[in-house]
Amino acid sequence: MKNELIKGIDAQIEDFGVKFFQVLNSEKLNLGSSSKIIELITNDPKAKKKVFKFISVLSNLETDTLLSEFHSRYLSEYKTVISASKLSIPFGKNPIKKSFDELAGNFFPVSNTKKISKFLKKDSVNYSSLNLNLIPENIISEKDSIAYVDKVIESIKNVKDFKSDKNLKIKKKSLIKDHKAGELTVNLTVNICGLYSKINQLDFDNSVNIISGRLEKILESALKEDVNITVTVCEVLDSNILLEVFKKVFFKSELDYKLPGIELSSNLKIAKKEIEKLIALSKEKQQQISIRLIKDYKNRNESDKLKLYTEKEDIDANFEKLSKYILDNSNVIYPVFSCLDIRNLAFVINYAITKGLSLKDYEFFFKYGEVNHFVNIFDSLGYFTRLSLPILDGFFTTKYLINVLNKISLNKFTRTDYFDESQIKELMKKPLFNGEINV
Amino acid sequence: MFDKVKCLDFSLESNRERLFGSIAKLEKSFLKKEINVYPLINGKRFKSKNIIKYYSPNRKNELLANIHLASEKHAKFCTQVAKKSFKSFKNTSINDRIQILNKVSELISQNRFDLIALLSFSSGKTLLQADKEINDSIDFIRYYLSVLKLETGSKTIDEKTKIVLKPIGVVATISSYDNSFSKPIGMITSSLLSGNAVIFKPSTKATLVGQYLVNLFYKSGVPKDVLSFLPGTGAEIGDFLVLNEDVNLISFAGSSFTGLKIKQKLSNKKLITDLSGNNFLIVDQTADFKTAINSIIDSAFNHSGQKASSINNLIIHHRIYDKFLSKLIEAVSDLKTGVSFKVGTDVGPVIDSKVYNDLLSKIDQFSSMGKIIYKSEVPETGLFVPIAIFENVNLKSDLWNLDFGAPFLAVTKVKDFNSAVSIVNDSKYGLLSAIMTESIKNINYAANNLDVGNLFINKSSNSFQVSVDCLAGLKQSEMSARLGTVEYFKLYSNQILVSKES
Repeated sequence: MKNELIKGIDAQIEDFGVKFFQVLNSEKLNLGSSSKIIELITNDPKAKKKVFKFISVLSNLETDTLLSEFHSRYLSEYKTVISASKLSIPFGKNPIKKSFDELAGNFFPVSNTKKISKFLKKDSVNYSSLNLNLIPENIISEKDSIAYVDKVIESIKNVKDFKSDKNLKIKKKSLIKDHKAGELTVNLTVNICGLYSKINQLDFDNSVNIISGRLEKILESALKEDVNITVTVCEVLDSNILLEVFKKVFFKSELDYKLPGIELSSNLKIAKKEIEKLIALSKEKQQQISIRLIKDYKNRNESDKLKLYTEKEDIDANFEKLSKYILDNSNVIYPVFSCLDIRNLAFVINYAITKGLSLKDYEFFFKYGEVNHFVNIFDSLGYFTRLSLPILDGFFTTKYLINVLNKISLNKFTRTDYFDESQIKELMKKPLFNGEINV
Repeated sequence: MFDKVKCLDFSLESNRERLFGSIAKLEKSFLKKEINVYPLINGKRFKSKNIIKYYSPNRKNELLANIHLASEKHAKFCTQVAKKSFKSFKNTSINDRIQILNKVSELISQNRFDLIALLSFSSGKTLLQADKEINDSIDFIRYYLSVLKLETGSKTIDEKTKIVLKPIGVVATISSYDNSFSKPIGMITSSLLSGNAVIFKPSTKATLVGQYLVNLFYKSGVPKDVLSFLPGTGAEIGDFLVLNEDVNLISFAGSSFTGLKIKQKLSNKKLITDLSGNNFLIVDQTADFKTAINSIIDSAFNHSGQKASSINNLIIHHRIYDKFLSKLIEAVSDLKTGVSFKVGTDVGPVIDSKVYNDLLSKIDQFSSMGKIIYKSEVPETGLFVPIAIFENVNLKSDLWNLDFGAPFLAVTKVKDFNSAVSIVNDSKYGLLSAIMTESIKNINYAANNLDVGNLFINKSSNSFQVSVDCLAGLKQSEMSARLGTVEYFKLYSNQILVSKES
């Protein structure tokens, strides 16, 4: 019976694809003030290389002379798009940082949560609620980790400022009022690798204890400000430590925490087993858990300890298997799906329908800057969209910026252009799973 | 080409429990009984009058074993046994040899947890470092087995000509203490697979592991007359083997100084060398700080800086010098020096009290050659040498120019990347360098201009992986061929050209 249901949704998935691309093609892509740069790097591979080279050295250009030198080396042909004078702040105490803010500010708010309100007001993305992604920047020492904890706590405190800002476009649709994630609840992603600079699998208990202690401090603040926390890791190989910390911190009996969240990636071969453990935990503690399912392409190769799917089709297929499993257990799990593949998202939507779930039973999660037009379309179709804003600073911004620009400049990646109906059929085909299943 | 082994996943409780069990078992066995290490010739143990005490590097005055040092008499007998055994061993089938070495690999895997504990106890490697070394040793065997399938027997060049590989004879394997398990495993495996008889003389600082290793080979079916074990000093046993005419090949891994001395002594004998060096790491202005600092910490302080591939000298671009150095010191000050087999230890002890005392005195001596800007606190209960970082180093001084195998880092700043390359090229050593840069231009420049055998880009100089990072040195860090390659393996055979009229 179940198999028949899934077979039956294939046609609906294709229909969704057609509908989605109709809306997409009828709308002009809105990429905000960064559109010229995107246009340039999408259409001109030579320009793309040069822009990326320039961005990669930007954080190390200490003087205006150097900035000007590198600008003319890489961008002299493209100065109408990225001008040196706009990047340079001659009398500022920290010209590099200012330059960064100018450039990166086109794509996402940087530095801290205080800037978010201002940033969001000038933006045209429509979303249901927000996530702040506290990306740990260059955590090298314990001093950095302590600073990261402080930054997370400071960000939580700042959340109330923009939550209360009536000019923000956070949606207040009826859908949201009974939403499982809670009305307007802002989510915050905390990376446990940032909480402790010396994570050591062999020193497992000590690592778990130190991370847990720091995460507890963060949770105390989050509870006061009504902020949801989702925990994640830099390297999926630390997933056992992540799970242990998750269990230890979020399920303390004295803690009345509404929605503990955890992020898992579909390229991780043990993801299904991890979800099984989380479902068991949720049932045991009678506490709903939010699982954010993502696709991580960063770790393309298996390392000594890491068992990963490395082929896109396997990762896509596994994403759907895991989505189905999560939706099957949505009585105890609150599902959050994050990917840019319309086929996978259409599967989620249609499988949820076959399960009799409503739009308030799950949400979609999008990183700001990658596919803002997707967010607008999903929002216009009535789905709960959570927009994730990275909060970062300095050198790390370079990498993030290049990563985002690279993704959005690849038509292959977003797969949003040049689709006629036959191509949409192809795009919406079920991904074939070739990997090992029982790992 | 071959299936690489993966390091153990210690986030699994079962693996941690097994390792802690092995450590507890080993600790008890050291306390309970007196362990002796003997020369093993033709399967027999030989007691010696010349016994040295082998103390724990982790706990001063804790005796680990009594080492019965082989004498010249033992060595002479050993060469006779090896020479005789070679006559029959060279004719064993390749399949038999493969079977034996496969068994060695299996036994290492089966005893992996005990081996990690032993290596950590006796050599002072931390548990994770020891696990990596055991991994490498299995990879060496698997790799050479896969090579053998390609390179065995004869290779036809044309219908009239072919190359035939023949075993050389008796191989003296003289190895160092930095990778006291994996290095001899690679050397002995190459020798045996090629059909040679082996006399294994480890460093006196690595005899405990050496004895364990030889017993693993015996258990796997290596005939006891084909592999002998001679714990002894370089001056007596090393020299004897080098000069003895029944020994046909010297395979040496160790210091550049000793390696070059051996080379001078040899006349009509083949020599395979794997020599250490004084290694450099360059950080340019485009470097990713996190990658660079993690790489430096592993390159300089892994195994307390005693590995041949450790770096001693750090060259930083002047534009990022202050900021980078302060971040580096911040990260280094988080490192914990202590008992190597305790979890949470980042830096273990040095190998023995002689090295320990020598390095402690060097810290004072070196302070006149550079300014100490960081010196770590260390416990006094074991042979723990502080991490020391020096700046404003005199580039003509011993601190900059010698390979001393310690957790010391000498730092200098340069005006540009090309100057850094010039400084590296001024060294008399040429084993390896690492560069930290995001600049393709600098990577290309380094690849074309650095006079080193190995260039590591944005990774630790100690991140060696069998068949991927095949080591080979230049200048005084000379190696006969890249370690872990087909060429290296073929050095253990004579190549005979057979040509005929059609």
